[in-house]
Parts: sequence; structure tokens; C-alpha cells
Amino acid sequence: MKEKPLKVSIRGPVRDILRFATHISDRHRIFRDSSPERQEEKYILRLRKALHPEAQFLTVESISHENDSTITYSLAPNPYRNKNNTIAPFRAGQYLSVDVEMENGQVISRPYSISSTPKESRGKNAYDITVKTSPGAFIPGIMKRTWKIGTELTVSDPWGQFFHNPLRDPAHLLCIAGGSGITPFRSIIGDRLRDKSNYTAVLIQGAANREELIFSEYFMNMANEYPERFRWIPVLSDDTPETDKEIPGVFRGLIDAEILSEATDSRETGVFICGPEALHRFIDTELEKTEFKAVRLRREDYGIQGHPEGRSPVNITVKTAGSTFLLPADRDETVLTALERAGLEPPSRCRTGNCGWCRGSLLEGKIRYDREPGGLRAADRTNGFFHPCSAKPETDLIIEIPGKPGIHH
Amino acid sequence: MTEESRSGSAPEAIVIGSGLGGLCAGYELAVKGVRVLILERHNMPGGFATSFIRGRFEFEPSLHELSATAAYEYLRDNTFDINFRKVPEAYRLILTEKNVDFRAPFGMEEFRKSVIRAVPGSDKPVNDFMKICEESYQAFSYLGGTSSPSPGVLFRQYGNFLRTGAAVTDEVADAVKLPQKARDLIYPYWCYLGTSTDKVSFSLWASMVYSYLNFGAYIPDKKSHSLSVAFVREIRKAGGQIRCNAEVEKLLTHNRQIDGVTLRSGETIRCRHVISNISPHHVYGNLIDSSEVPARASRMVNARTPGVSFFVVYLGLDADRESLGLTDYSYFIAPHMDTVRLAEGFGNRHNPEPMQATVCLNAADESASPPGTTILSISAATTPEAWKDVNPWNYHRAKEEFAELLIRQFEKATGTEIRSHIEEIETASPVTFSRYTAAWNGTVYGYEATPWDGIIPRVLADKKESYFKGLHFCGGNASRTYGFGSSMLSGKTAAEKAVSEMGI
Repeated sequence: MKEKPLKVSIRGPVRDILRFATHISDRHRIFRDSSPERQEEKYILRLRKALHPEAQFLTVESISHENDSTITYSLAPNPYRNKNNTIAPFRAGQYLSVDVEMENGQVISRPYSISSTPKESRGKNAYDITVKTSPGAFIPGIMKRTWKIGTELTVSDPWGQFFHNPLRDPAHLLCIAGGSGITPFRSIIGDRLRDKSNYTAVLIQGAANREELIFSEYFMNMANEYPERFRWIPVLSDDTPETDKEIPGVFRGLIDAEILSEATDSRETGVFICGPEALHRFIDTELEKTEFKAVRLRREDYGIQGHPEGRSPVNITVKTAGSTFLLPADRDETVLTALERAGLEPPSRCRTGNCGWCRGSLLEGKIRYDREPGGLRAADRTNGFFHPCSAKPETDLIIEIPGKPGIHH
Repeated sequence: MTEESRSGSAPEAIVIGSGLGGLCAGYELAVKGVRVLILERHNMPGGFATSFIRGRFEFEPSLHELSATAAYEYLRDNTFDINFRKVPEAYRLILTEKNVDFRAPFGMEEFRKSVIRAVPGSDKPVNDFMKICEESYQAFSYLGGTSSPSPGVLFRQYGNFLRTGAAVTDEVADAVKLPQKARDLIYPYWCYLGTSTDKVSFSLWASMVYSYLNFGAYIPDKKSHSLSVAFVREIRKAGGQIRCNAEVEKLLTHNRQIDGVTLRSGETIRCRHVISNISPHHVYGNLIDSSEVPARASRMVNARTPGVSFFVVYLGLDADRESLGLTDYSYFIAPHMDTVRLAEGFGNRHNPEPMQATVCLNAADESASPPGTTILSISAATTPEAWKDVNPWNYHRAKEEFAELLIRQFEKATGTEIRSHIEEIETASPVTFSRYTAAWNGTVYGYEATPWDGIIPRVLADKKESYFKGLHFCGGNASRTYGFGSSMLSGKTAAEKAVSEMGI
């Protein structure tokens, strides 16, 4: 028996076909009935511009000395350049990529953690960044020499993954800082204690000596103000017994297993570490020796240093924004450093291989990574993409990188 | 430093935007020997076809699966060298208020049997309904494969397609008397169109559902980023150029003919053929000088509704999926399947019972994350309006709240515990999508596919709605409508139009 063919009917056989035949003219009737006025993008564009401006034009609003070698710069919107005059919101622990103009006119970007809390920054409409000026520190020296009140700066929107997320991280944190790695913790600790409840933290702050113990008064006050919720453990590596009187409970030596055991308990604990790479490696070894098991561990790396130690020249051919350039480079510097020195103003943010902002194509030649960039995507590895911020040239290279994004000034 | 050269001769065609549609257009032009320049606003090509890394996880931002139809065949047929993994089952549907926990298998026979088993006595309406869905799919295949469709063939072989071509999904379900319980099981995939079944073009919905259920689906190794990387590689091989961080600020026209583009940097590039992977809203509203834009184009833009956006929670979990009890690849979770009410909820970030579409990549690809870990991504449709009350300083908190709501809903519906296993979490809102793709208002699909703005009217009206010579569109707003496969292949269509215009 032959099955009767299926013949669907919605409004009747003729009307269904007619409806199909006329639905294009329906379309044009609907078009004709619409307004010819230009539409704005509502709601979302407002948030995007507030949260992720393509660049922030700021000025140095104030300069304060934390100690002889550490300076906090307060950066507020540049009234002559910014349209909305409001800084972009951030999460405690995030950083800004700051364009620093060298005395020869070359522009280099550097990531600096925001040391003010979101609430402080929102209140005064300014970010604080805190920079340590040690003799070997090249960029901080330029900042110290050239930044005055009113100096105009271009910085990125806030970036980075070094922040507490209540859905991921335990309410109790162990924060470990080495040297100027303390800067994001001023924001994180202040935010947790002052602006949120139910959060607790222990901060181990490693520094060379009393003088280098940045924000010591701030943390001492916090420990007094919130004795139940916060403990501050300063650890000084240089032997200076007189600080005992000034800072009760100071430890001497390195942040070793003994101090880590002292700082930890059976609470569910998330660990946040910020400091030079040697600190990360040392803490990893020392944590192994303790009973303590971190529930979550987050790190903020410091930028890969790109300054040539020896002279081992290579050439890099760079294709960017429709042009090709030939520039000299060194095997001991990162590709990004060579691009910056040449004045190309290549895109970059984290300078540790993580964020991928500088991603480019390696068309010819060989590069090496001292440390494998954590942010390199799987498909990129096998298709010749690389992160110039963490790659050093082994041979002459031919590369292609994105141009400098066009920014409305 | 010495400047060696400016790039050689002027491009013969420019592609604005390098989502999959733009990349496919650029590739098709390059392999035909056209000097093509692709301009991308972001620092890397790909649009939604990308990935991002948090800790030891590389996340898939957008692709849930690619149906094993034309787009999948295209990517396999060409020299893209992409490894695909088969999605194991169609979906698991949990309707919390209705006590439904249904596993939909792939294969039309198996699917129909499962629905009929779950809804006894529904044989005829279910079989009829799925048959009409199949006919829609086949009619589109016929239309897609011929340049001059024969009305005779359409009437004889695809009568049901013609009769339902201007209908919405509910009308066809009503016509075959499909019981609500069967609709509950067959409808869930509607959320990937984001338009409720009383509004969505039946033929588009039906064709999508049929092809997914019947042919199965795949995901690429190394996330959808591998698709854009493969396109970039092949475009360069064929001599095409791609520039990133190169936002087009103006589309130059002269006497209704495209004449070039001006970049944000101020550089002007002359060119008489442009394929736009960005929306007509942007092109006619922002890129072309308003005095040059005909009122017809503005009315066309204003008549159409930008589709929904999504809020997505990406979770990197610190245990393998077996121990977490994540048995399935694709979960649809909702209180019920009343799509009108569910769609109304898109406008509310605090809606306690939204519909979520959740994917556990590891169920199709064990290598999706490191051994002993699992990736889970939870998506819920949302509208731009749902974010209008958010103060920028409270934005991160708003995202955390939405994320927590969806995670709890998932845990409750599936009886799993995942919160204590969250090693990495990221969320994406319309703001995120706007930031990375500049899609209009952060919407992830093109215009809503209502019957008057479905595939058929878009294709048939294409010439009439061409307001500038030398300008063609691709991507989710173009004639094939949205989704990875359609957006991508619309690039091929746009390239073909451009090539025929060039007289090559």
C-alpha cells in the first residue's frame, strides 16, 4: 500500500503558497515603514567604552615617595585629552600597561600593577602605580628623571588575571610578595579588608631591608585595624637587627618552609605570589617541604628583561601595517625589545608571554624562549605564531606583527 | 632601522573584518588570484573563531559544535589540515519543572524513536513534523546547489517547504498537531537561534535542527582558533594579505560605487571591491558618510532586529569528567520549554530559571584540557537591555552573580558538584563580545531570522538590497544567516559575487 504523501496545511493550500510568494514583499513593506534615522548602539557600547577604552590619556597628578627609592605616581585623566574624564574600573591586583617615553623619544611599554584599591581609585578618579628605582632599573630611572606633575601619559585599560574571584578562590588568602612585587597586594589587601567582609589574608612580604619594605606602615596599620582578619609577616634578607624594635615580629632570612609553615594553617587557602622569577621558584621548593596544600595558586610574573648582555647581532625583517622594515637585534634581547628600540611601537601588554597582545608570525628564522610563554595557543604553536615579548632571536628573522592600533587623540 | 618597502601594488579587493566569513571570503579571493587585503580591527584574526588561555586551560569561546553539513565538508575538503572530533550525542535535556531528563541521540531514526518512546502515541505528528524538517533541509540543499531553481521542481518535490517557507515553527507544529510534550523534546535547539518558536523562521529552524540531528556534529582540535589559524595560513600561501590592529574608520564611496577605505591610523587605501564581514548597521550607520547613504539603506537597517547575545561562564575544573559526573557533551537545562517565556527571560540577568546550553568539551575531545581536568562552558542568552542598569564599577560583580546563578542551576539540575573544583573561571558578556569583535551591541548572531528575514527572503532580495556597487556582505548578517558554518560559507558566496563583478 502506497503511503499517502504528507501535505502540510497551515492556512489552507492556496493561502500557504500565496503567503510564501508574498513574504518578500512583506519584507520590503516592513523596510518602507521603518525610520530612516541613524541608530546608536545602546547600552553595551557605553559599558565597553567605560571598561575597556582603547587607551587612557592620563597625567601625573601627584608624586609621593614611599621611601628613598620607591615612588608612587598618581595618574588621573588628562582633562585636555579625555572625553569622559573617568578612569576605567579594575579589579584589585590588575595592572596597566604604561607607555614610557625615553629621553631619545623612543616609546617603551611596561606593565605596572595598580597599588590603589578600586574604591580609592574610584573615589579620587586616579590610579596609583608604585615604582621602585634601583640603580639597575632602567625604566624607573627614566620615570624618576622625566615625570613631573602634569606629565601626559598614555596607558592601557586595566589588564591581568591576578585578582581574587569569589567563585574560584577561597575566602582566605596567603599572599607572598618579593621586593616590588608587593604593589598589587596593597590593592588586594586593602580591597579585601576595607571594602569587603568575610575575607581574611596573611601577607608575607619579603624585602632586602627595612628601607625596601614598601608600604610597611600601611600593612602595619591594617594588621592593627583588622587583627582577626589580617596578619602581616615581613621577612628581611639583610641582617639589620635594629629593625626588630621598629617592626615587631619581623623575620630574617628568606621566605622558607619554616616561615611558610608559620604563616599557614588548616584553613582552605588560596596562594597569590608576586615577585621576581627566582622568588616563584624558591617558594615552589619551600612549599613542597611543608604540610600545607594550597587550594588554588595564582602567580603574577615579572616581565622578561630584554636588555642585551652581550653583543651577538642578528637582523630582523619586520612586516607590519603594509610596510617592511629591516632592523638590528641581539640574540640576548627579546624580539619585542628590538622592535621597540627601532621605534616601531609594537603592541604589548604583559611582557611575560601570557596575554598574547604582541602575537606575531615567525615567517623565517629561529627563536628561543627562555621560558615557554604560558599564553601561546595550541594551534599557534604548530602554525608559526609566536609572542615577541618572550622570544629571543637565534638567527636572522623574518616576522610579521600587527601594527600600532590607531587611537583617537 | 631602515624601511625596506611599502607593500607592492594596491589591493583589488578588501575584506573588512576577519571573522570566519571574512577569512573564507579572503581565502576564496586569494586562491582565485585576486590581490586581497583583509583588514582586522583586533590584534588577531578570527572573530568568534578563536580561543583564550587561563592558567593551564585553553578555552573555546563560542563554538558548541559544527553540524556535519556543507561547512564541515568545506573545511575537510580543502587543504586546511584540521582534525575534527565527533560529538558523541545530540543533547541531554533537563526540564526541571517538568521532570524531563531526556537524552537525544544522533540519527533521525533513533531520534524519532526516542521522542515517540518518551511521548507515547505521538508517532504520526512526530514523524510528520520531522519529515517536513527534512524537506526544508533538502530544499535548501537543492536551492544551494543550483543557480536557477525550477519552480516546477520546487512545487513537485518541495511543496511542504513552500507551504511552510513563510511560517514560524509553532505554526507548523500546530498544523501537524505536535503534542506539547514532544515539542519539549524537539525544540531545545531553538536557543542557538535565540528567537522563540513563535517568531523564528520555520524553514531555517527546521533545516538547522534536521541537519544537526541527522548528520551529527564535530568540533575541531585546538578549539575554533585552529580554523582561523588554518585560514590565515592558506590565505598567506595564496598571496593574500592580512593586517591586524587595522580598524576601518571610513568606507569611501563615489556615486554609489565603493572607492576605498580609510583606516583609523589615517591611511587611505583605494579599492573598488569591498566585502564586509561587519554588519550593515555599522556600515550604513558609521562607515559610509551619512550624506551618501540612501534612506532605503537606513530603513533596511532599522527594520531588522539584531539577534541575542550570550552570557558565558568558562570553567576549568581540577578533576576529570568521570569523577565530576559530567556524563554528557551537550546539556540543555531549563524549567520548561515554553520558548516565549524563556525568551522573555533573556532580558533579565537575575532570572532564577533561565535556559542554559552547556558543553563539556572533554566528552568529545579528551585532549581539550590537561589530563585530570575538565572544561565546562555554560551559555545563557541575554540581551543588551539586560545590562543597561550596570554601573561600570559594579560590572565584575554583576558577572560573578550571573555566573554563580548558572553554575548553581547546572549543579542542581544534574546533581553534580563543581563549585569546589573551579581552578579557572572566566565569563563573557555582551560587553566582552563587543570588545573583541565589535559586533553591534555585543550580539553574537546577525539579524533575527524571522520569516521575512530568513534565508529565502535574504537570498531573493539580495540584489534589490545592494545599495552600493562593489560592496558585498558576509558573516551572520548576510544571506545565509548565522552560526559558524553559515557565516563562513557566506564568505564564499560574497567572494563569488565580487569575482563576477570584477569580470574575472
